[in-house]
Amino acid sequence: MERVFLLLPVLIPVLGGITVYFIPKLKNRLANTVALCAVVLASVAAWFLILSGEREPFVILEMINGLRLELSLDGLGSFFLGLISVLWIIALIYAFGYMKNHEHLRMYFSFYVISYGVTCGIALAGNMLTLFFFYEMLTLVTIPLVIQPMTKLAKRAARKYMYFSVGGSAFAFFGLVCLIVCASSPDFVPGGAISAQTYEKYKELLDAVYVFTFLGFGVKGVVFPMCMWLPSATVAPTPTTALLHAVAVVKSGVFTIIRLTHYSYGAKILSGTPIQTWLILLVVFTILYGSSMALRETHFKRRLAYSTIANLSYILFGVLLFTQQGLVAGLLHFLFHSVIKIGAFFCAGNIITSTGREYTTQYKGAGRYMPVSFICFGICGLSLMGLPYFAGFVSKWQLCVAASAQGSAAAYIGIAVLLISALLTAVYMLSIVINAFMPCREEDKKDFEKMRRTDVRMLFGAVVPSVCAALFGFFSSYAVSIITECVKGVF
Amino acid sequence: MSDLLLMLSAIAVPVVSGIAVGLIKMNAKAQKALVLSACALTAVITGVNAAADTGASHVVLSVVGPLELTLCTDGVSKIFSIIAVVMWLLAAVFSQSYMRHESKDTHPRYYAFLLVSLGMTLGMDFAGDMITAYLFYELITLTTFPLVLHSMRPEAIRAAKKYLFYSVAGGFMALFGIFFCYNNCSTLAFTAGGSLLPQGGTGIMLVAVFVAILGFGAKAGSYPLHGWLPTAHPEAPAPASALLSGVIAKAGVLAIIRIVFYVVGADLIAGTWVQYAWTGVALLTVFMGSMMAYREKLFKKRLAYSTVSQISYVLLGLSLLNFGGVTGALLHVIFHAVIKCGLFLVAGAIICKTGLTNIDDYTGIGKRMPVTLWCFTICSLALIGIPPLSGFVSKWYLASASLAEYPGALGWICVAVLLVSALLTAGYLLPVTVRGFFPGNDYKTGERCEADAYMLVPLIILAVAAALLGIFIPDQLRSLVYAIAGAVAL
Repeated sequence: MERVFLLLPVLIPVLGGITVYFIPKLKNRLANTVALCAVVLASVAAWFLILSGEREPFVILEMINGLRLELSLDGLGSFFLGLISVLWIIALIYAFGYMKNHEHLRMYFSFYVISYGVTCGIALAGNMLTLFFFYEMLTLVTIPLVIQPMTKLAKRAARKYMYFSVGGSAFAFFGLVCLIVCASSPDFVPGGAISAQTYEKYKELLDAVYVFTFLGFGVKGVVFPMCMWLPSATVAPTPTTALLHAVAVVKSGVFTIIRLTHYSYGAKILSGTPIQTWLILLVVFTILYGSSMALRETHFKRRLAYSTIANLSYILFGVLLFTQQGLVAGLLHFLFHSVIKIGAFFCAGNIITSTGREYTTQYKGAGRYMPVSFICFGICGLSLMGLPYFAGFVSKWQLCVAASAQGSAAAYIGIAVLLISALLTAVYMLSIVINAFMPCREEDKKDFEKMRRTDVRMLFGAVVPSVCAALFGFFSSYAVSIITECVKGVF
Repeated sequence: MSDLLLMLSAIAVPVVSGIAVGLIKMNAKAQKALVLSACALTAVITGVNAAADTGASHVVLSVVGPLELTLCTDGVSKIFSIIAVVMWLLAAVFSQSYMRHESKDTHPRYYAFLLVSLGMTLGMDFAGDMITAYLFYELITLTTFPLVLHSMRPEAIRAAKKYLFYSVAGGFMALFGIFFCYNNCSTLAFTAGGSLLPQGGTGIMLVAVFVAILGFGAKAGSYPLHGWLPTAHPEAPAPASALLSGVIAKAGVLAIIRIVFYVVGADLIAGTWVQYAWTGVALLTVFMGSMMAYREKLFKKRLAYSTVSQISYVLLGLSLLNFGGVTGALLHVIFHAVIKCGLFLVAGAIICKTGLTNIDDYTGIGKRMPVTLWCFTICSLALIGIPPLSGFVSKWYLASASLAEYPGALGWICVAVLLVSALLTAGYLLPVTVRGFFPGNDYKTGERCEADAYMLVPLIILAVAAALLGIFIPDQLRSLVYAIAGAVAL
């Protein structure tokens, strides 16, 4: 197997995206075809790499002192790559339907495709430097996707996103330097690359650096208080919020934190330290914060954004338990939350586009006029709150099992918060669906009757993930064994 | 294998026919035939299943690790499933007449959810492990929610939301308990006497069990999550209220029986603060429910408060953990289901025929609907516990068991609360009879408007059962109750 093939999932979308940008204004069909082809080809390449089991790293660029940009594919990377390569296709098809009446299409789709390549880069990064490079690139290429409506609000949101992200990376940069100096190997090593002796020697420094780096990457992983950009960023078009702000960007943050924790530092040296306790308490607080704010918020997409904040911290909670069970449970929620939340956002997009209303209080009675989207949203809601055997239930159950096996006081607090948060989730998700199927007000009736029909591609985007959100739970034993295989060697 | 098939079909028949009623356009006759035959068929299947004595547990679906869907028919399943199918059949017959005064286009929705919720209730009854039970427990909430919502009036919507919120909140409290059971018990599958690990009896486990009891208590209308019940039960159409109060609220009782006696075992909580607190909560609810019922003027709401009180009789019996307590509790489950269904159907008949909802307007109602009111009177006397009617038998067990379990003052407090509550029951039910039959001299008799056959047949069956079940309880049922109590009680 040629090592250079590792470049394909990164290069194809980047080149494809650039091509899309230069296609003349009137040829929408051609532009869409090119974009779709680039994404599908890259996904095929990605799956080809995953299935062929490529393990040899590919060095793109060798700098001084062993500093190098290199791509490699291990279990964790395959997991993330496999996930995004499927979701990006669905999201792109949805985006064609959603964006057809919008402006600045070339810019939007070109960056939409390019950001796929960059996210693949994050999944394929073989060391912290490469990961950091693609992480920064992701910030830059996703700014146009937030700014697309070109309203004052969108510009402000994009600026906020940029400040937070770049600021966070500055924090993380310390970590990067420190890791390069202290780690025994420049590459990611399952189980950590810092030896016990080194850790003993620089204990205070390494502890502080871990916390700073965690918080720095926590900007994309939306840990309180660095999560504030996410609700504002919902002014972006729904394909952006659904794919990037529920999956690609935020999950990249979590992915990076997993790389930092389990592939650079190593759970062995960190477990049982006070920083573990404090960081668990921080993410537990984030769960509570996200869920309560979601309940309070009446703007539909902002509510889902707050819900994302809470759910990302479920994953981090699993990761911070520093046990195999915890990491597997966290990654299971990583997978299930991606599917559920992308479905929920697509449904929200359909509802907002058709009704032209953005607040959850305005949908009373709309369910009868667009049943598919509301029912799909309901299924996502049930799955997210944890109806037994639906996807969300299984991952939360596994998280609770892992937390109690770990057995610290902070973990028990986490279990209680997980259940409180589940109740809040039930309220903020289901209340929307219930209200939608209530009788509607007379003045709304006229509005709803003249609503546009939802584009078929948008319905497809709503139906596929919600069916998966319901069914994946039943087949989660496969998911668990695959994920366990992916993180083999970490513990 | 055949019993698995029976259980699956008992769940599937009502669900499939419910979906058919809801989605396929059909005329009133076809709808009636389908609903009644589905209920009857389910009843037959459940009866055959109860008669086939296997008790083996079947894994239908294995999700991951211990999370699996298992079905099993043991003694408790038999009792609860038989109650469910009988009551559903009677309520479905009653609905045929009752629903005539509701708008036609609400019928498909009503019958659809009525049937689907039967399937879910049977699923809960046949569940073979705690997770499966929890799954169906949540599904019961979701499928009965539209029944409360039925009229779509603002109050109904508010009541239904309250119901959903309380139930889901209770569900998550229960899940907290189940989760600790998973860690401290060898299995979540039901085994009589529980499967607590030797090192499992920790303090946090006690807290978890108590939280689970309170959580599942939400559905049973137990303090402190009882608030939804008096609001939500009366909002449904009367036959649905009858099922909600008579059968579906018992899903909470069933869940508590399962987790306390079949997962952790009575040994864990015997003599601990959990047992005392549980008894205390039950006593409080018994008294409070009766008190509130006594003050309430709306007929159906009064009956709903009565449900709050009566189901806590059952919980009181369970909290005693001894043979008499469990026997009394199971008998009260059966008797209260019969009586409360009867009472709600009476309320439905009166509301349907006269439109009167307030008890103060029921003066002389006995002259207009004599058979209905006789049924009401018999059920009331049975609920109060006049010997030898059914309520007396279960209450006798409960009172004697509480004296046996708590030799000190607490035992006497239990008995006193039971007696005061019985007195209050008389106080809130009998005035309807008295004023109904003896309106006084200056009362001008209204026209006669007796309920029709669809209403009277279920009413008379329930009234006769309420009167006679106490003494002439079938031997199989009695031995079943004794066997369960003998297996799980201390």
